[in-house]
Amino acid sequence: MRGLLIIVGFIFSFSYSDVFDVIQTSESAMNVQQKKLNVIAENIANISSTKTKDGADYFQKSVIIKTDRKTNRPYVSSIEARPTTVMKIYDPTNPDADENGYVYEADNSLSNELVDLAMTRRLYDANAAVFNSAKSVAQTLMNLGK
Amino acid sequence: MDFDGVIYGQTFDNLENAIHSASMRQTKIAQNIANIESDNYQKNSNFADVLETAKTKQESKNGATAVRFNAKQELENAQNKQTLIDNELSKLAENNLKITSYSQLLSSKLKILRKVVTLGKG
Repeated sequence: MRGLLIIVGFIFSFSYSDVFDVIQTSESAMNVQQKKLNVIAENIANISSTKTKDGADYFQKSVIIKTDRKTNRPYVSSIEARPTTVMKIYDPTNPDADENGYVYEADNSLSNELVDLAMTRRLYDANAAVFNSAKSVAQTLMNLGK
Repeated sequence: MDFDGVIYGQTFDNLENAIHSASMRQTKIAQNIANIESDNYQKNSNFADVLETAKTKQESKNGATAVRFNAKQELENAQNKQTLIDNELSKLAENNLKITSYSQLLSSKLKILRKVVTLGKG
């Protein structure tokens, strides 16, 4: 009787708290990294843009990541324009040029984005590794007693 | 006579607790890795880490090591992300091995029990 209780209690505690929690945590982290990859792709694609379609100044974007206090899972709280220094380029043929022929471009560096990209990929890999290890632990525990 | 005590002993309880705490630790490690870039996240740490931090703080209060402590802190922040991932992943692997070994112990214990119940035939 006590053995049965132990096994039932074990299965209960196992399904109640942990493995699925781990899986969901690393899943939401991977979602966050995907969104970050999206933003990096946008930034690299628009690296020499001067204006947006409606005429406003174009800024690179950066992702603000926060933690949900209740579940301890990360989420993207906002995507914000990143203020940068402005480069003055002489280009009189550009329709956006001012009366002296200068175009103002944000001073974006490709290397920054690429470093970000490498970091994001590494974090994605780390979360995938956590996911895999949680899965293998769960499988080990399910094969218990066989 | 307490048959339960004879058959099961303390081993089942111990192993259950061990697996439970190991999988709790796994959750914490997963959270540390997942929230590595969050602004408002406070890392889960175990007792040994907290004790080490408190000791360093106490030393820096004494004045002599205050400057060194700040420099160390800055260095730590710069390398934080890179090293944190490595540390947490190695902790995770260790934890994984622990859980596997616990479950193997539990399996062999169950095997013995089955042997006894089937009078040596199972």
